[in-house]
Amino acid sequence: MQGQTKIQERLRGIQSLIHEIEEARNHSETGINKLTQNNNPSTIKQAMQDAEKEERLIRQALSKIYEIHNIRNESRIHARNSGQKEMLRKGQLMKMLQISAQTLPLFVSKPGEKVPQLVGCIPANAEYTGKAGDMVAALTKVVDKGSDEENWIMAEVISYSHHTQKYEVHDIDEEQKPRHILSKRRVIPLPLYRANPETDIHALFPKGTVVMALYPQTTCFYKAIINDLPANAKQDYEVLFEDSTYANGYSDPMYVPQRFVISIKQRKS
Amino acid sequence: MAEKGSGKRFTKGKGKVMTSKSSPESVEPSSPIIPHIRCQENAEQLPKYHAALSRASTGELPPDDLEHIQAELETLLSTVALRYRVLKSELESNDSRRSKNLDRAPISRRGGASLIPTTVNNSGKPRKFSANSPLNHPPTKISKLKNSSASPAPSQHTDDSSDVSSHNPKHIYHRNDTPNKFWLSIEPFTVPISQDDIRLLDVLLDEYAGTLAPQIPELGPHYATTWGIEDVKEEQDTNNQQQIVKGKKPNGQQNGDVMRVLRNSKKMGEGITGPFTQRLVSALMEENLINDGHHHPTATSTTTTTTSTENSNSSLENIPNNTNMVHTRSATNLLKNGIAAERRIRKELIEQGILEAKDVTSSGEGQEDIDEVLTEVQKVRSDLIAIAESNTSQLTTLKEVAHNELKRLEIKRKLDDVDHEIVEQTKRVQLAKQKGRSLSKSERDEILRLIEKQRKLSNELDNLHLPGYTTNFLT
Repeated sequence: MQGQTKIQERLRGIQSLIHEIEEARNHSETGINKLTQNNNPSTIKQAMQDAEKEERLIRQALSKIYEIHNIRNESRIHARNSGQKEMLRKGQLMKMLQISAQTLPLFVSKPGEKVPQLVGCIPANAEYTGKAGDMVAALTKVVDKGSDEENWIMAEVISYSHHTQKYEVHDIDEEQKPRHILSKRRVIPLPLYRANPETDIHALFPKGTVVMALYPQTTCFYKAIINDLPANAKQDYEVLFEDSTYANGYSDPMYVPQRFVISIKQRKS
Repeated sequence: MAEKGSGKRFTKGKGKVMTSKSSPESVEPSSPIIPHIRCQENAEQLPKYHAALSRASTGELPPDDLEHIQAELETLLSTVALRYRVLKSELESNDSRRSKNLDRAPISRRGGASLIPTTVNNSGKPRKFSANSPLNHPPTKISKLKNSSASPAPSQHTDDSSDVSSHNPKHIYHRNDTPNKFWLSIEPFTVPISQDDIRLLDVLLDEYAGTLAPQIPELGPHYATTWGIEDVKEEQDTNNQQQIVKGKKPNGQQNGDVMRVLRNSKKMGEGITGPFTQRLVSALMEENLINDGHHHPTATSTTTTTTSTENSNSSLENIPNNTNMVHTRSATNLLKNGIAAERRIRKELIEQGILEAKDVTSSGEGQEDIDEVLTEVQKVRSDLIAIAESNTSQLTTLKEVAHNELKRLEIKRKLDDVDHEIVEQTKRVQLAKQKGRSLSKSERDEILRLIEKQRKLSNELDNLHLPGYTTNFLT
């Protein structure tokens, strides 16, 4: 398989990069030790150079990892298009979602760099259109007992037609009606990068923001309030879901990964 | 705030691996913490990264480690990016301290190296904030966030490092979907039974309602006519072709005869002649057709054996040898004499010493039809009957079980409803408790009624035989 060899190539690349990174880190460490004794500008500059090198190598390694994710995703889409049905139990699906949220690339800005769209809480530009395989929140009608309820579901973009300005999306929960054709305004792309709380905290929703968040163990987005922010790249938002069954109108704190928290969209009507 | 985060239930969250570290003995009051993960701490903080280092640089990273490596590299990246920012602000503050007043520097540049914990955050932020002003985050919020991310670092990294190792096993993901396929294939067999299933059983049972196996036709018309006609037609088709070439006189007549004889034999078959006669007739006809001649060895031999059998004999003899005149007579002759023809032939054969009397009596009158084919057919038929009987009984058992299961499902459904109602009631009670309101009598009664109903249904369910227990029908 071609995809497999591509992945292997990258795995080898990562392995050798790790050794290079370690070398750079050793070098940095010596510089840092020097710094603690003597923090004159030249040692600081030297340490900065070391850090730059280290950062560049780590970014290289990470980009290879992200490439592997992309290759896998592409082969998955390819497999689906060629008619191989994905068979997923609910639990498996949830696990996959969780992993996908964890392995969503981390955006770490360089000093002075502007955080681009679809990183953390930064929404997509108006002209942005998702490509096939992207995850989105899609507002779909629930055809259930004649009720006219609408739900934000988690879906995957199949295609976008510039002509009709409509998305074709695939409900990731296979049990439901799988395909929907939806106008662009009913589709919100999910972030393509996690924001790094340690360097780009402004790319996270501030505490108290009303957002749409994926309710744990479901594939639907509901209104929630940010209760706490992740302290580092691996943590999740702590949110309170709007829930009328609780006395104060909000659920107990729940944890939702960055990928599944999006800014609320004003509903027409 | 952020301390909560470290103790979360994230399966993914290994907590904070990144540490802000500088060797404690050398910390000066004014020097910032330099974010750094020591290489010595690799094994503890970055286990998969550490494991990768133990492999040769020319090797290949195990794909299963990818997620962990990603997380660890991201931690490293975040740390190094932070370090760069800290160093940069440090450099700037150094510059400013040198060129300007020492006191003013930290104020003018908010990222000054004055306070140990805040430097980490401040250093990166002011720049960021100005660069990203279109994001419109109110400054107040940011200051809050600053605090939140500033405070956790020291307290978190102790328990988080242990998190790293404890969470690792959870990250072994199954990439193949064999279990999914398996469970999907199982699913159809585990869905609740429905009326449709019962209907299917009824249809199947209906199929076994009549006779369990096809009857064996009596020797006679079935073999003589059906098989005979088939053979004859086949012959005719080939013969017709030949006739066109040869000129049709003899064959044409003959074929006509054959058909008539066959028709006669059909009539005969209706209980007048015995099976042997019929077989003999058809055999003779076949001989004739194949040999195409009027006289041939078999025909003459039959003639010799049948000479003594008077009328019936003559009719038999005439079928192959003579033409239309004879066969019209033969039918009537057979009608008159055919009934006892076989018996008479047998009798004469015994008289002439050709057949042993023993053979006749041993085969007997009742068993005269028995031959190898018939015994085989009978054997197979009895097997068929046995299978059909077993099928019927299995189906009946299955239907019974299905009915029971339906009953059980119905009770279970009711029980679920009651359960649901009870949950609703519980919520209401909790709400009432929260508001400090006591329950009214009707509410109490309702709860008691529901619980009683639940108990009743549950007992009912227990008393039913669950399908799992009635395995005997399968054995």
